[in-house]
Amino acid sequence: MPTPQTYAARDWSLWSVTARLVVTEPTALAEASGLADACLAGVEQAASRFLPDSELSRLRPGPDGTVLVGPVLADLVAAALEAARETDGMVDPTLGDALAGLGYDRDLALLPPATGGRDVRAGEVVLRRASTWRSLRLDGRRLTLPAGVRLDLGATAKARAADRCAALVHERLGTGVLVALGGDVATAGAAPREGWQVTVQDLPTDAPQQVGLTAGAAVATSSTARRTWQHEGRTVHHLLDPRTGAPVDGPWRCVTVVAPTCLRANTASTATLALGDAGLDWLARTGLPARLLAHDGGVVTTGGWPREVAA
Amino acid sequence: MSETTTRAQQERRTRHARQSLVVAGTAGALATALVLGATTATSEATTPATTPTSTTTQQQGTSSNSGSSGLVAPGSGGTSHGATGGS
Repeated sequence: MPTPQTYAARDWSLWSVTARLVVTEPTALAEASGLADACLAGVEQAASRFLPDSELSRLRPGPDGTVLVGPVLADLVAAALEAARETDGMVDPTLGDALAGLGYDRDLALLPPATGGRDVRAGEVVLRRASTWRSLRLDGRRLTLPAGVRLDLGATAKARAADRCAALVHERLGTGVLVALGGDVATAGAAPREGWQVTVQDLPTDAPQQVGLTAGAAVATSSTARRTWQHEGRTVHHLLDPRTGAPVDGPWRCVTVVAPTCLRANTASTATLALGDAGLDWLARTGLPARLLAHDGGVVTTGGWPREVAA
Repeated sequence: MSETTTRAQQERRTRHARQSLVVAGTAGALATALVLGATTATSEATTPATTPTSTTTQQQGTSSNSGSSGLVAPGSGGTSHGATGGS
Protein backbone atom coordinates (compact mmCIF):
# COMPACT_ATOMS: atom_id res chain seq x y z
CA MET A 1 0.00 0.00 0.00
CA PRO A 2 1.65 3.24 -1.08
CA THR A 3 2.25 5.81 1.60
CA PRO A 4 0.12 8.93 1.16
CA GLN A 5 2.29 11.93 0.53
CA THR A 6 0.98 15.42 1.01
CA TYR A 7 2.32 18.73 -0.03
CA ALA A 8 0.98 22.22 -0.43
CA ALA A 9 1.64 24.68 -3.22
CA ARG A 10 1.13 28.30 -4.11
CA ASP A 11 1.41 29.85 -7.58
CA TRP A 12 1.65 33.50 -8.44
CA SER A 13 3.03 35.86 -11.07
CA LEU A 14 6.36 37.54 -10.46
CA TRP A 15 8.94 39.22 -12.69
CA SER A 16 6.98 38.28 -15.83
CA VAL A 17 7.11 34.58 -14.97
CA THR A 18 5.01 32.13 -12.96
CA ALA A 19 6.42 31.57 -9.50
CA ARG A 20 5.63 28.45 -7.49
CA LEU A 21 6.30 27.51 -3.90
CA VAL A 22 5.85 23.90 -2.77
CA VAL A 23 6.33 22.64 0.78
CA THR A 24 6.24 19.07 2.03
CA GLU A 25 4.61 20.18 5.29
CA PRO A 26 1.25 21.64 4.22
CA THR A 27 0.75 23.48 7.50
CA ALA A 28 3.91 25.47 6.78
CA LEU A 29 2.64 26.97 3.53
CA ALA A 30 1.35 30.26 4.90
CA GLU A 31 4.50 31.02 6.84
CA ALA A 32 6.67 29.82 3.96
CA SER A 33 4.81 32.15 1.61
CA GLY A 34 5.55 35.09 3.87
CA LEU A 35 9.22 34.21 3.99
CA ALA A 36 9.37 33.73 0.22
CA ASP A 37 7.61 37.02 -0.48
CA ALA A 38 9.98 38.90 1.80
CA CYS A 39 13.03 37.20 0.33
CA LEU A 40 12.03 37.87 -3.26
CA ALA A 41 11.00 41.45 -2.52
CA GLY A 42 14.43 41.97 -1.03
CA VAL A 43 16.08 40.67 -4.17
CA GLU A 44 13.97 42.92 -6.38
CA GLN A 45 14.61 45.98 -4.25
CA ALA A 46 18.33 45.27 -4.37
CA ALA A 47 18.87 44.30 -8.00
CA SER A 48 16.03 45.38 -10.27
CA ARG A 49 17.04 47.38 -13.33
CA PHE A 50 13.46 48.55 -13.70
CA LEU A 51 12.68 49.98 -10.27
CA PRO A 52 14.02 53.54 -10.17
CA ASP A 53 14.48 53.32 -6.41
CA SER A 54 16.19 49.92 -6.34
CA GLU A 55 19.65 49.83 -4.85
CA LEU A 56 21.09 48.89 -8.24
CA SER A 57 19.41 51.84 -9.96
CA ARG A 58 20.73 54.21 -7.31
CA LEU A 59 24.32 52.96 -7.28
CA ARG A 60 26.68 55.92 -7.36
CA PRO A 61 30.32 55.02 -6.78
CA GLY A 62 32.42 57.60 -5.01
CA PRO A 63 35.53 59.34 -6.38
CA ASP A 64 37.54 56.18 -5.71
CA GLY A 65 35.19 54.18 -7.93
CA THR A 66 33.80 52.11 -5.08
CA VAL A 67 30.48 51.95 -3.27
CA LEU A 68 29.31 50.08 -0.19
CA VAL A 69 26.36 47.86 -1.11
CA GLY A 70 23.80 46.10 1.05
CA PRO A 71 24.14 42.43 1.94
CA VAL A 72 21.58 41.21 -0.58
CA LEU A 73 23.09 43.11 -3.49
CA ALA A 74 26.56 42.03 -2.41
CA ASP A 75 25.42 38.42 -2.46
CA LEU A 76 23.87 38.82 -5.92
CA VAL A 77 26.96 40.54 -7.33
CA ALA A 78 29.13 37.80 -5.84
CA ALA A 79 26.92 35.23 -7.57
CA ALA A 80 27.23 37.07 -10.88
CA LEU A 81 31.00 37.23 -10.59
CA GLU A 82 31.13 33.54 -9.72
CA ALA A 83 29.16 32.81 -12.88
CA ALA A 84 31.46 35.01 -14.94
CA ARG A 85 34.57 33.29 -13.60
CA GLU A 86 33.14 29.80 -14.20
CA THR A 87 32.29 30.65 -17.79
CA ASP A 88 35.27 32.85 -18.59
CA GLY A 89 32.93 35.76 -19.16
CA MET A 90 30.25 34.06 -21.26
CA VAL A 91 27.83 35.02 -18.50
CA ASP A 92 28.68 38.66 -17.89
CA PRO A 93 26.88 41.06 -15.54
CA THR A 94 28.06 44.19 -17.36
CA LEU A 95 25.61 43.96 -20.25
CA GLY A 96 23.03 46.33 -18.79
CA ASP A 97 23.62 49.00 -21.42
CA ALA A 98 23.64 46.43 -24.22
CA LEU A 99 20.23 45.14 -23.17
CA ALA A 100 18.85 48.64 -22.76
CA GLY A 101 20.18 49.48 -26.21
CA LEU A 102 18.08 46.65 -27.60
CA GLY A 103 15.02 48.10 -25.92
CA TYR A 104 14.98 45.96 -22.78
CA ASP A 105 14.90 48.90 -20.42
CA ARG A 106 11.64 48.15 -18.61
CA ASP A 107 9.63 45.18 -17.45
CA LEU A 108 9.12 42.65 -20.22
CA ALA A 109 5.35 42.99 -19.96
CA LEU A 110 5.71 46.61 -21.02
CA LEU A 111 7.75 45.88 -24.16
CA PRO A 112 6.14 45.48 -27.59
CA PRO A 113 5.51 41.77 -28.11
CA ALA A 114 7.49 39.94 -30.77
CA THR A 115 5.49 39.91 -33.97
CA GLY A 116 7.95 38.13 -36.21
CA GLY A 117 10.52 39.36 -38.64
CA ARG A 118 14.16 38.52 -38.80
CA ASP A 119 16.10 38.24 -35.54
CA VAL A 120 18.78 40.76 -34.69
CA ARG A 121 22.15 39.17 -35.40
CA ALA A 122 25.79 39.70 -34.55
CA GLY A 123 27.27 42.54 -36.50
CA GLU A 124 23.97 44.38 -36.59
CA VAL A 125 24.30 45.92 -33.17
CA VAL A 126 26.93 48.08 -31.57
CA LEU A 127 28.11 46.54 -28.33
CA ARG A 128 27.31 49.07 -25.64
CA ARG A 129 29.52 48.21 -22.74
CA ALA A 130 32.05 50.36 -20.91
CA SER A 131 33.96 47.37 -19.59
CA THR A 132 33.69 43.66 -18.83
CA TRP A 133 33.14 41.70 -15.64
CA ARG A 134 36.89 41.69 -15.06
CA SER A 135 36.71 45.36 -14.15
CA LEU A 136 34.38 44.63 -11.24
CA ARG A 137 35.68 43.88 -7.78
CA LEU A 138 33.84 42.94 -4.64
CA ASP A 139 35.64 43.12 -1.30
CA GLY A 140 33.12 42.10 1.30
CA ARG A 141 30.34 44.59 0.60
CA ARG A 142 32.52 47.15 -1.13
CA LEU A 143 31.96 47.09 -4.87
CA THR A 144 34.34 48.61 -7.38
CA LEU A 145 32.24 49.71 -10.33
CA PRO A 146 34.03 51.54 -13.16
CA ALA A 147 32.36 54.64 -14.55
CA GLY A 148 29.86 53.90 -17.26
CA VAL A 149 29.31 50.25 -16.34
CA ARG A 150 25.65 49.40 -15.98
CA LEU A 151 25.01 46.10 -14.31
CA ASP A 152 22.40 43.57 -15.34
CA LEU A 153 22.22 40.76 -12.81
CA GLY A 154 19.21 39.16 -14.43
CA ALA A 155 20.95 36.05 -15.69
CA THR A 156 22.05 34.99 -12.25
CA ALA A 157 19.96 36.98 -9.78
CA LYS A 158 16.76 35.03 -10.39
CA ALA A 159 18.55 31.71 -9.96
CA ARG A 160 20.31 32.93 -6.84
CA ALA A 161 16.97 34.21 -5.57
CA ALA A 162 15.48 30.74 -5.95
CA ASP A 163 18.42 29.27 -4.04
CA ARG A 164 18.17 31.88 -1.28
CA CYS A 165 14.43 31.53 -0.98
CA ALA A 166 14.46 27.73 -0.74
CA ALA A 167 17.29 27.76 1.80
CA LEU A 168 15.53 30.37 3.92
CA VAL A 169 12.24 28.49 4.06
CA HIS A 170 13.95 25.24 4.98
CA GLU A 171 16.21 26.81 7.60
CA ARG A 172 13.36 28.66 9.31
CA LEU A 173 10.59 26.09 9.06
CA GLY A 174 12.32 22.75 8.57
CA THR A 175 10.01 21.74 5.75
CA GLY A 176 11.15 20.38 2.42
CA VAL A 177 10.66 23.11 -0.16
CA LEU A 178 10.75 23.75 -3.89
CA VAL A 179 10.90 27.26 -5.29
CA ALA A 180 10.34 27.77 -9.02
CA LEU A 181 10.82 31.15 -10.65
CA GLY A 182 10.06 30.59 -14.30
CA GLY A 183 12.87 28.45 -15.58
CA ASP A 184 14.79 28.43 -12.29
CA VAL A 185 13.92 25.73 -9.76
CA ALA A 186 15.69 25.28 -6.41
CA THR A 187 14.97 22.82 -3.61
CA ALA A 188 16.03 22.48 0.02
CA GLY A 189 15.37 20.01 2.78
CA ALA A 190 13.69 16.67 2.35
CA ALA A 191 12.17 15.79 -0.99
CA PRO A 192 8.95 13.87 -1.45
CA ARG A 193 9.56 10.13 -1.47
CA GLU A 194 9.90 9.89 -5.24
CA GLY A 195 11.90 13.08 -5.53
CA TRP A 196 10.77 16.47 -6.72
CA GLN A 197 8.90 15.85 -9.94
CA VAL A 198 9.64 18.60 -12.44
CA THR A 199 8.25 18.98 -15.93
CA VAL A 200 10.75 20.22 -18.49
CA GLN A 201 9.06 22.08 -21.30
CA ASP A 202 10.04 25.26 -23.11
CA LEU A 203 7.07 26.20 -25.26
CA PRO A 204 3.57 24.78 -24.82
CA THR A 205 3.91 23.12 -28.21
CA ASP A 206 7.05 21.21 -27.15
CA ALA A 207 6.87 17.62 -25.91
CA PRO A 208 7.35 17.72 -22.14
CA GLN A 209 9.63 15.45 -20.16
CA GLN A 210 9.21 14.77 -16.47
CA VAL A 211 12.27 14.20 -14.30
CA GLY A 212 12.80 13.63 -10.60
CA LEU A 213 15.23 15.83 -8.68
CA THR A 214 16.82 14.46 -5.54
CA ALA A 215 16.68 16.48 -2.34
CA GLY A 216 18.66 19.69 -2.64
CA ALA A 217 19.14 19.51 -6.39
CA ALA A 218 18.23 22.37 -8.72
CA VAL A 219 17.38 22.78 -12.38
CA ALA A 220 17.40 25.75 -14.71
CA THR A 221 16.26 26.29 -18.27
CA SER A 222 17.45 29.07 -20.54
CA SER A 223 15.64 29.72 -23.78
CA THR A 224 15.88 31.99 -26.76
CA ALA A 225 12.17 31.55 -27.40
CA ARG A 226 11.01 33.17 -24.18
CA ARG A 227 11.43 36.78 -23.15
CA THR A 228 11.26 38.08 -26.67
CA TRP A 229 10.11 41.47 -27.90
CA GLN A 230 10.06 43.63 -31.00
CA HIS A 231 12.73 46.27 -31.48
CA GLU A 232 13.12 48.40 -34.60
CA GLY A 233 11.30 45.87 -36.74
CA ARG A 234 13.31 42.91 -35.49
CA THR A 235 12.66 40.12 -33.01
CA VAL A 236 14.95 40.24 -30.01
CA HIS A 237 15.47 37.86 -27.08
CA HIS A 238 17.23 38.59 -23.83
CA LEU A 239 20.20 36.21 -23.96
CA LEU A 240 23.13 38.18 -25.31
CA ASP A 241 26.49 36.96 -26.49
CA PRO A 242 28.94 39.02 -24.41
CA ARG A 243 31.40 38.96 -27.30
CA THR A 244 29.08 40.74 -29.72
CA GLY A 245 26.28 42.26 -27.69
CA ALA A 246 23.77 40.61 -30.03
CA PRO A 247 21.22 37.98 -29.03
CA VAL A 248 22.83 34.54 -29.16
CA ASP A 249 22.38 32.72 -32.44
CA GLY A 250 23.55 29.13 -32.07
CA PRO A 251 22.17 25.69 -32.77
CA TRP A 252 20.18 25.48 -29.52
CA ARG A 253 16.85 27.05 -28.73
CA CYS A 254 16.65 25.90 -25.14
CA VAL A 255 19.03 24.33 -22.63
CA THR A 256 18.09 22.70 -19.30
CA VAL A 257 20.74 21.84 -16.71
CA VAL A 258 20.58 20.10 -13.32
CA ALA A 259 23.14 21.09 -10.69
CA PRO A 260 23.61 21.23 -6.92
CA THR A 261 22.49 24.87 -6.96
CA CYS A 262 20.18 26.82 -9.22
CA LEU A 263 22.88 29.43 -9.70
CA ARG A 264 25.23 26.84 -11.12
CA ALA A 265 22.48 25.30 -13.26
CA ASN A 266 21.48 28.68 -14.69
CA THR A 267 25.08 29.68 -15.26
CA ALA A 268 25.65 26.51 -17.28
CA SER A 269 22.45 26.76 -19.30
CA THR A 270 23.04 30.41 -20.14
CA ALA A 271 26.69 29.90 -21.06
CA THR A 272 25.86 26.94 -23.27
CA LEU A 273 23.52 29.06 -25.35
CA ALA A 274 25.99 31.94 -25.46
CA LEU A 275 28.80 29.68 -26.64
CA GLY A 276 26.81 28.63 -29.70
CA ASP A 277 28.45 25.79 -31.59
CA ALA A 278 30.99 25.28 -28.80
CA GLY A 279 28.32 25.09 -26.12
CA LEU A 280 27.74 21.35 -26.06
CA ASP A 281 31.39 20.43 -25.66
CA TRP A 282 31.80 23.00 -22.88
CA LEU A 283 28.69 21.77 -21.12
CA ALA A 284 29.73 18.12 -21.39
CA ARG A 285 33.02 18.96 -19.69
CA THR A 286 31.13 20.23 -16.64
CA GLY A 287 29.63 16.76 -16.21
CA LEU A 288 26.26 18.27 -15.32
CA PRO A 289 23.13 16.46 -16.51
CA ALA A 290 21.60 18.50 -19.30
CA ARG A 291 19.04 18.48 -22.08
CA LEU A 292 19.53 20.63 -25.18
CA LEU A 293 16.73 21.38 -27.58
CA ALA A 294 17.75 22.41 -31.09
CA HIS A 295 15.87 24.87 -33.26
CA ASP A 296 14.68 22.02 -35.43
CA GLY A 297 13.16 20.22 -32.44
CA GLY A 298 15.95 17.68 -32.02
CA VAL A 299 16.93 16.81 -28.46
CA VAL A 300 20.47 16.05 -27.27
CA THR A 301 21.31 15.04 -23.70
CA THR A 302 24.56 14.81 -21.80
CA GLY A 303 25.95 14.16 -18.32
CA GLY A 304 23.55 11.36 -17.46
CA TRP A 305 20.30 13.13 -18.21
CA PRO A 306 17.50 10.57 -17.84
CA ARG A 307 16.46 8.85 -21.01
CA GLU A 308 13.31 10.17 -22.59
CA VAL A 309 10.64 7.61 -23.32
CA ALA A 310 7.83 8.41 -25.68
CA ALA A 311 4.50 8.56 -23.92
CA MET B 1 21.74 35.51 -46.50
CA SER B 2 18.67 33.64 -47.65
CA GLU B 3 16.36 31.87 -45.27
CA THR B 4 17.17 28.57 -47.01
CA THR B 5 20.88 29.05 -46.48
CA THR B 6 20.37 29.94 -42.86
CA ARG B 7 18.25 26.85 -42.31
CA ALA B 8 20.85 24.63 -43.95
CA GLN B 9 23.58 26.07 -41.77
CA GLN B 10 21.49 25.51 -38.71
CA GLU B 11 20.81 21.91 -39.60
CA ARG B 12 24.51 21.34 -40.20
CA ARG B 13 25.28 22.76 -36.77
CA THR B 14 22.69 20.51 -35.16
CA ARG B 15 24.10 17.43 -36.92
CA HIS B 16 27.58 18.40 -35.79
CA ALA B 17 26.38 18.81 -32.22
CA ARG B 18 24.74 15.39 -32.24
CA GLN B 19 27.91 13.81 -33.56
CA SER B 20 29.86 15.52 -30.80
CA LEU B 21 27.48 14.04 -28.27
CA VAL B 22 28.79 10.55 -28.84
CA VAL B 23 32.09 11.59 -27.31
CA ALA B 24 30.76 14.17 -24.90
CA GLY B 25 28.04 11.98 -23.49
CA THR B 26 30.38 9.10 -22.83
CA ALA B 27 32.87 11.31 -21.07
CA GLY B 28 30.18 12.92 -18.99
CA ALA B 29 28.69 9.64 -17.88
CA LEU B 30 32.04 8.17 -16.95
CA ALA B 31 33.11 11.25 -15.09
CA THR B 32 30.06 11.79 -13.00
CA ALA B 33 28.15 8.52 -12.74
CA LEU B 34 24.97 10.47 -12.41
CA VAL B 35 22.78 8.01 -14.22
CA LEU B 36 20.08 6.75 -11.94
CA GLY B 37 18.44 3.37 -12.16
CA ALA B 38 16.37 2.08 -15.00
CA THR B 39 14.61 4.23 -17.51
CA THR B 40 11.01 4.85 -16.65
CA ALA B 41 10.68 8.43 -17.81
CA THR B 42 7.15 9.43 -18.48
CA SER B 43 5.91 12.55 -20.10
CA GLU B 44 3.09 14.53 -18.64
CA ALA B 45 1.74 17.76 -20.00
CA THR B 46 1.80 20.05 -17.03
CA THR B 47 1.11 23.73 -17.09
CA PRO B 48 1.69 25.48 -13.78
CA ALA B 49 -1.64 26.14 -12.14
CA THR B 50 -2.58 29.71 -11.48
CA THR B 51 -4.79 29.13 -8.48
CA PRO B 52 -3.57 31.15 -5.49
CA THR B 53 -3.19 28.30 -3.04
CA SER B 54 -3.89 24.60 -3.11
CA THR B 55 -3.21 21.55 -1.01
CA THR B 56 -2.89 18.24 -2.78
CA THR B 57 -2.87 14.71 -1.47
CA GLN B 58 -0.92 12.36 -3.67
CA GLN B 59 -0.25 8.66 -3.62
CA GLN B 60 3.48 8.25 -3.87
CA GLY B 61 4.74 5.06 -5.39
CA THR B 62 8.06 3.31 -5.13
CA SER B 63 11.03 5.62 -5.06
CA SER B 64 12.92 5.67 -8.33
CA ASN B 65 16.09 7.17 -6.94
CA SER B 66 16.79 5.49 -3.63
CA GLY B 67 20.33 4.38 -3.10
CA SER B 68 21.79 6.81 -5.56
CA SER B 69 23.87 9.89 -5.06
CA GLY B 70 22.76 11.46 -8.34
CA LEU B 71 20.92 14.70 -8.85
CA VAL B 72 18.25 13.68 -11.33
CA ALA B 73 16.27 10.57 -12.16
CA PRO B 74 13.59 9.63 -14.61
CA GLY B 75 10.22 11.06 -13.73
CA SER B 76 7.80 8.94 -11.76
CA GLY B 77 4.85 9.75 -13.94
CA GLY B 78 3.05 11.12 -10.91
CA THR B 79 1.93 14.65 -10.32
CA SER B 80 4.51 17.24 -11.25
CA HIS B 81 5.52 19.56 -8.41
CA GLY B 82 6.81 22.27 -10.70
CA ALA B 83 7.96 23.11 -14.16
CA THR B 84 11.09 24.52 -15.68
CA GLY B 85 10.17 26.42 -18.78
CA GLY B 86 12.49 28.64 -20.65
CA SER B 87 13.32 32.00 -19.17
